[in-house]
Amino acid sequence: MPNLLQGTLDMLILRTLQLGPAHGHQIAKHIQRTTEDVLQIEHGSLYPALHRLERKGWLASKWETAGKDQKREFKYYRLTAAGKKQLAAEESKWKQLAGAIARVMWPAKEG
Amino acid sequence: MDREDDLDRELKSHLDAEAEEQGSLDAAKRAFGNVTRVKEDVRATWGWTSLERFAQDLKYAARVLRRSPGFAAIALFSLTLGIGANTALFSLLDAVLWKSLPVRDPRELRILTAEQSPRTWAPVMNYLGYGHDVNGVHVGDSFSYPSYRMFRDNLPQFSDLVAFAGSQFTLTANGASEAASGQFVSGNYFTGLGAPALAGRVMLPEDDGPGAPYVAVLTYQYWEKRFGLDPGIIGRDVVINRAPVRVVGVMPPAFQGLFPGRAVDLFVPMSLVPSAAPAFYRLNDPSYWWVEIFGRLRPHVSDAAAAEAVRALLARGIEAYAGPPQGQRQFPPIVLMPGASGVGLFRFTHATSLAVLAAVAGMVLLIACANLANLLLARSAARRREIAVRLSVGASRGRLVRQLLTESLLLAALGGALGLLAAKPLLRLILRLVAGPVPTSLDARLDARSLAFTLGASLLTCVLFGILPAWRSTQPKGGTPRLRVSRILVAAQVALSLLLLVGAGLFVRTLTRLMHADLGFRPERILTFQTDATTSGYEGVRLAQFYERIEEKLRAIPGVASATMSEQGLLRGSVNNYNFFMPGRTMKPREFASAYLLYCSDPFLFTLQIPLLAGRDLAPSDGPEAPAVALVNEAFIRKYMDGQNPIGRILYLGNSERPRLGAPPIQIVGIAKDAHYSSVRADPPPTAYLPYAQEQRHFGQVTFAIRTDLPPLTVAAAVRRAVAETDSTVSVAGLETMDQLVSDSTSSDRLFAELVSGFGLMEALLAALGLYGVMACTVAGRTQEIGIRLALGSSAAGARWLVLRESLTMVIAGLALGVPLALALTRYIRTMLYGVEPNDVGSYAVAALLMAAVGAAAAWIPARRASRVDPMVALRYE
Repeated sequence: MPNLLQGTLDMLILRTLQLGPAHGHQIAKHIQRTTEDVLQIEHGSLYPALHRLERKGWLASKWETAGKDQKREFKYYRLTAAGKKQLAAEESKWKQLAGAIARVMWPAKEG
Repeated sequence: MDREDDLDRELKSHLDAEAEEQGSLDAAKRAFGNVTRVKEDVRATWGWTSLERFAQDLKYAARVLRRSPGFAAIALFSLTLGIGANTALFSLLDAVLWKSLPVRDPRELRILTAEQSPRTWAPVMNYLGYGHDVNGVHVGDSFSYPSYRMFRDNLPQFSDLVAFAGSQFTLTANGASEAASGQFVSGNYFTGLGAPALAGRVMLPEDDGPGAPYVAVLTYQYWEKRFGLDPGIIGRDVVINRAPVRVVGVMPPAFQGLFPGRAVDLFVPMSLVPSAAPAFYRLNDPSYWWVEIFGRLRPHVSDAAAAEAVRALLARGIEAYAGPPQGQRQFPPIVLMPGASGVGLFRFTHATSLAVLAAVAGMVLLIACANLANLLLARSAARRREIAVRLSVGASRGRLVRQLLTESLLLAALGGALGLLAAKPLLRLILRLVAGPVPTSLDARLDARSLAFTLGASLLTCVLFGILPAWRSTQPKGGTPRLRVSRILVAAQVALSLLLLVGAGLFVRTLTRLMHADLGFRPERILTFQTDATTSGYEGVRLAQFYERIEEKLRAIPGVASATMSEQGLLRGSVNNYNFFMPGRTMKPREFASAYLLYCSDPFLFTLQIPLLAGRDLAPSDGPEAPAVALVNEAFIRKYMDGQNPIGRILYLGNSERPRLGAPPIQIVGIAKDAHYSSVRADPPPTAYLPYAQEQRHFGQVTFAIRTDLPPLTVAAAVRRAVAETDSTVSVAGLETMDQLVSDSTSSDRLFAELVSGFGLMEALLAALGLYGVMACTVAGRTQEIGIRLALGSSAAGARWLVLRESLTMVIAGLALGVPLALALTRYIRTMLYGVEPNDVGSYAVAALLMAAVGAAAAWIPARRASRVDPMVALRYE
């Protein structure tokens, strides 16, 4: 995921988890699929990010069995209340930023 | 659950899920990337992982050390030695130099001293005190008691002034009489110093008042030694000499008076002086100087102002009893010395030994560091492959350095812990070393400060020996390890070891010389002891008769050939040095003629078997009414008579401007052979033997010497009985054979020789180990080259020589460094040597040969290995 703005990955993870708890593999796949493979998540960034967000209290984690015949265990992450608030804050910040960039890039549309 | 396991499982589950998707685990791994790296990054987000990583490193380090027990043993041994010696020495230096007295605001304390020199005017009948040189000025630390009273009542510059003086007592308690070392103190001593009691109470000013019942305060050490920490002793009466005294309290262990190094048993008020002190302790005579004074300077008063105030007051006091200064003299200036650490007598008398010990300990630690750095370097060369692999799989260099340092830290910590254990016996040894057999009260023990020092020393050594190898061994462009640094380290070790060995040689030769020194008297079969009857109330004629009675009783003991009494005892360290002048003898300019006086009974020379060279010996007829006579020794003639015959000449004690009060003319009647006086080490001084019966002064403590036909200790019990039968309140102290005194007199030299030799040999061995390590590495690294040489026809001896030559280069470099170093440094131990010069060729030769031999032995094994290299194997090697 080159050139992704600092902090953007955090936001994407939080947004993905708004849909419901997921484990690392699922999160990576989800982002990849949703962006139609534009954003390839590097594991080198994903797991440190997950652990960082958990430390900040925005995520909580739990081991659960899943997969075929419930045989495999996965560490599921879910959003906490603080994480929801953080997502809202980052979303509005991102909107502001995106709007600002849009106004620079396509000024004609304004008015 | 452990975070690490958790992470492992999490990543594994991810890989499994990926593998399911991709169809194979390998593909999944490719897609995932560097797992180790991800783990590292995740760990970095954990925050306090550094601690966890440290624990991990520590575990790893412990494993590595366990796997190489030989290395660990050598490393720990040298560290234990280095850190132990330094900790012990620190504790001692701390007690002697830095530790403050356990009193309120010790920094405010000042020691009052007065200059003593030919230009000062302070006539005294008796002076008892210590002299020090302060910035080239000779000062004495005693004053008269009337001066003290005057200071105490008239000096607003000090908030408190306390006085004290030491004395030997006979203390009777629970029906047993024993000698005790006491201290007379002014009533305000404890309150002025701000030293509270541990149990009971301290002495108060009113306890020193007229008519107040006598009290005593014990030191903790004496309470333990004599009364087994019995709390019941507080409030009970004991008898000091003949006076009943109530024990009112015990001081805490740290408080032992103001003289670190001088053992005190108990404190009693000055009011007890008339009934328990030697005759020359006089409370009301300004010409008897015997009390030492500490003052607590008020804040914002300068030392100079306070000293001037004391000087003016003292001048008034001296003028009142001795008149204005005569000649070019002036009233003595006052010097205030810092008193926070007490009277640093120990500091002055043992400065050189302490410095040498500190240097030896420092060298031991340095060698330990060099040795360890070397071992670690050699090991890191062996671990080159492991380190290269770890670097290439993505471990950062910082991480590896940290890990290698953790190993060093573990070693240093273990070494520190062991060193602390070793410090205790070492401290005891060093205390004996510097203090000799004298009981010492130094508050030298391993306390929190020593612990802090050990910690610091361990950390420092860790840094010293750990960083260089850690840094070098993780250099990414490893290549063949250059052993240059190791070689330099080995040479440095050789140099330092040589220094220690040279020192050892010098001390051993000193000891040999001392043991075979001609004392001038025969120490065999002599028993001696000391006693003091003035503390039991004997004075004047009764005192002299008392001592005569004892002498007669001693002579009557079966097996005793001869008995004598003298003021000073031979080899007991104390002397009586007095000025004299001889009419008709021209004084050299600025000369200060003085002789060592020995007041003795007439069989003195006979008992100690000091040969009489000319004239006559002292005789019973040299009594109080007979003309005063003296014997002088050869040193006296050499120094003062220019080789002329002294017999028949007259001398006076005192000096020409200031003869001693009532000094009679003394005629020299005989010449004695030179004999050692105060110690084995000091050359016989110009000595005069005088009949004690002709001395008007009171003798306090006297020494008896008995020559026996039997082994001297067999009559010891009879000797004690003889004194006790004469008067049971008079105690016998220091009952020892003269042989014992001779050996005591050289005991610190013996210990020094042993300690420095021991350290020197051990360090030489460590240096040899370092040399061996480097050479073993070299041979391993050059197997191929050696193989080619052998294949090309070089002989096995040639291969051996290749290795030996390189070892010898290191040894010779070390010696070339060590010899000038030793020459430069041994000058400073000149005063500790006897009969041997600091640049003694023999000591240097032996040390260098020993070092070279040890080095050659260490190089032999790798050399032999080199000569046995099989060319075929060597060429296929690597």
